[in-house]
Amino acid sequence: MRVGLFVPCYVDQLFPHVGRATLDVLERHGLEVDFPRDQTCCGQPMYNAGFSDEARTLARRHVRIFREYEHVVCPSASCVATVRHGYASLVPKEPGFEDVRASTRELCEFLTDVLGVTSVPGRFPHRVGLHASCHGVRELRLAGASELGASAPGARPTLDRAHRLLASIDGIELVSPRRPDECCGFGGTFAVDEPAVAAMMGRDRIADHARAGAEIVTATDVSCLAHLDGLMRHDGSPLRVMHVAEILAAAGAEAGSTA
Amino acid sequence: MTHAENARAFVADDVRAHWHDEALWFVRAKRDAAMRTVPEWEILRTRAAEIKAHALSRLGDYLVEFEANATKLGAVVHWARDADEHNRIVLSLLRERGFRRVVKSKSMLTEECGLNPYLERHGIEVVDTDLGERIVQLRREPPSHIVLPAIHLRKEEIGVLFHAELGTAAGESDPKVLTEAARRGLRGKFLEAEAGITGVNFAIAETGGIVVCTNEGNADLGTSLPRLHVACMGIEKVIPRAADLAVFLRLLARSATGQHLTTYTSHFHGPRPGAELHVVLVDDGRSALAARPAFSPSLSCIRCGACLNTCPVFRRSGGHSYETSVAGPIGSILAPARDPERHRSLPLACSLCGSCTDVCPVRIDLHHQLLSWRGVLARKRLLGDGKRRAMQLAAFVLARPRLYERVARFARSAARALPSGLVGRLGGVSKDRRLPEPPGESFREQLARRRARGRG
Amino acid sequence: MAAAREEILAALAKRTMAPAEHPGSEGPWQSFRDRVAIFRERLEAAAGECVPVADEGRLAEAVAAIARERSASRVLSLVAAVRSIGAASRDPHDVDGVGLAVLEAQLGVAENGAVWITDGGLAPRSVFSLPEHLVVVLRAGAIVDQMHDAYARLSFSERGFGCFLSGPSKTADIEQSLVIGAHGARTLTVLLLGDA
Repeated sequence: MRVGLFVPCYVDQLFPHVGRATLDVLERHGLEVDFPRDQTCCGQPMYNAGFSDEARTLARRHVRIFREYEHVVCPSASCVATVRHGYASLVPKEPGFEDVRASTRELCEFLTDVLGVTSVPGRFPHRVGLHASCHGVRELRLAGASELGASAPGARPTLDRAHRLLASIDGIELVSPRRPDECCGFGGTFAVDEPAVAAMMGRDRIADHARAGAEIVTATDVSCLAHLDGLMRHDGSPLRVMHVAEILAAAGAEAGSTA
Repeated sequence: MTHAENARAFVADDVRAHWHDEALWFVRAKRDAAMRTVPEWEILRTRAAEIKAHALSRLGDYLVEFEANATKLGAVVHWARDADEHNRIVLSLLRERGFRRVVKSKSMLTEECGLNPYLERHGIEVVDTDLGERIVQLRREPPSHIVLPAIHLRKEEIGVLFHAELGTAAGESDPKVLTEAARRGLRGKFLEAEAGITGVNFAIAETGGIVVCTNEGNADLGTSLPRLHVACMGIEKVIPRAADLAVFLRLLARSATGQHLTTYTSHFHGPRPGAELHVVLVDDGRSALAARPAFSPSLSCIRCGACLNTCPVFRRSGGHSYETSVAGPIGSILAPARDPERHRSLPLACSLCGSCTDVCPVRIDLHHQLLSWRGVLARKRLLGDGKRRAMQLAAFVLARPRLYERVARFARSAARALPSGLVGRLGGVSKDRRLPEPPGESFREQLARRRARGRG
Repeated sequence: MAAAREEILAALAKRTMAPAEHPGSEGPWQSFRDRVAIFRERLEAAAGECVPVADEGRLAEAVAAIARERSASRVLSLVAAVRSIGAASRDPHDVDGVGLAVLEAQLGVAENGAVWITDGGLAPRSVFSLPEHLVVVLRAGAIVDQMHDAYARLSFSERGFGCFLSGPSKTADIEQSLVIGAHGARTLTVLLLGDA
């Protein structure tokens, strides 16, 4: 199985360790992983800010670069959401658009839905709070949103991909914040347009995870985590952030070394 | 002021902002609990959306049908193109009869039209009778929430207000005592009133009736005592059949306050014996909105307020920060349709979390409509030149992978060299959080090195 | 005004909203094994009370007990089995001062504890909101599961007033703190016939 690794531009430049962890996790499953070096950005920042023309240019490139892959995996739910939902309005006629839309998956989604992974070997003896990223929950429906009724598709909490994978790791303790899926306040340009509210939202999430007893806050999205991390470091919080891929990779590395 | 500026002032009072957030989260939690008692909740939402889409697709026909049936029952139907025409119709109904004392129950439409100040300017005494509306009326400020008009106020502030206005004891802030004082004061107003004005939650084309929902019973008191009942409604409130009410009423109160039904859900078919019923149908921009496919679903709104309660931005910025009669996500869609320049900051007051869309009982894709508004504002060049140029430049660089690599490498090394405070300011990020420390190598650089080593 | 009507209708006739079918009324709507129990639970959640009464012969006695408990000296009854105390005229204002009104419900709704009452031309409409306390007589057999079933039984072909009433008047407009008795009735008691 040949997999195209889609590493969002800001992860490439600012959080390369998350890209590396994602690659590790995929290679540990015996996959042949390709990183097409022409990739830059899926166009999400422009798309979410209302600049469709600028986003379209990048969306078109992205489709051309990734259409040859059977599977495309990305450690960011919001970028996947842009490809899966945003592209329908941006580049509906681009050849390969339907293929890329169908083949692109968030990392945990790929592990559970394509590879059928139900448990992750290894150990991670920490108290972890899983921040449910909005695009993962409400655009990709990778987990049930707390406000949806039982008859909604994706509303069953058992469908929570990241939670299921993390919960299977030996020694991990997943804590439960009071508000299971409230936004962290990043929201791309939102954090720039509305800095005061964005910071308050982030601090409230951190406080909620701290109250629940978390040492580490994790998520499927680096953008949410970077926002929270910026606030944690400013405030001198004892909490820290790790992307889901880093936890899966760390647990896997331990399993590899003891195997 | 922009929403962000107003929000900054709101957030600056940290204790109050958190209190406001918790108060509304409590309402959201009650909504969740009520929603979970209905196993077919999501099917109901779909049904409600379908009925509204159908009704809006034949709105003209249903309005005509409603008018004919309401007239048959003895009501008088008026049409108003805009707020001003609406206000003039209401005033002339009062003047023709020499009426000067009016009690009003909650109506977002009359807020939108500015009816109260208009009538007051023309010598009419208008008393808002919903407790929350009464409180903000006495404070001479607009409601901050479409369902909970005084949710921005602490009980102590209301105590001070009632002490000054209604003569309650100084320092009294028990909601029970304050509510009782309002009840006593308003009883007299109800009994003296010559006319009662209400909003309309639903108008039924098939029967010519209107439905008004309240918890306090103020619409019922306000229409059962005076001889004139004036019901004001936006044209989008008409639904085809009485049976459709089952769908909407099962959703409305649960979404709004977590009750299974509003306490008084009153169905008026024609005037009561010896009295008059006038219904004013108001367009005020609605037919224009119906003609914009990207935004017309917002006309399905039944004003439950659920999107406000779940919105993480609304809860932390307060209703007044929106500077519109309807605040929150739905207001941020409706307001720019009236005046995109004035309300251009509202579609930005959204982190695109999507929770509003999930709670909406009529499945308005609120956050996607807010995103669409950003597109409209960008095309109208109302988002600021700085942002536009930044996006154009970023897209230019990102479309060229070699250039992207060079620019990014330079930016990383510059950011590492510069003091972080300066970088934050350049990045447009507030000073109360830190930016990530840029790494020496990007992922692609690390990977290239590793793979080159692997081959070598 | 005619101009306004024509202009609005003309603007709507030009609208571009896509045609959409009405979905109809059938659906997988909730039903309950024990409607009476759910009705009672939801009525109490709405701050109402539910008192079972064995048969019509016991109604007067039950109302008298409630009137005593609520210190209501004027009782206005629209139910044949219960006598009014202190006459009321047709003037809706005259209902002010009525301590207790006794009404008859056509049906009750289990899912929300509401009762459907109509004015039936028997009394001024203020009888639903002006008295201090309300008693509503409901037959247990007239409780339906949910609102779809309720509307299937209602007819709106004539002039009149009808109201779903769920519990007494209430407000939470001050700090979300629930206060019973905002403008209308301070208490609402459903006398449930045939469930004792």
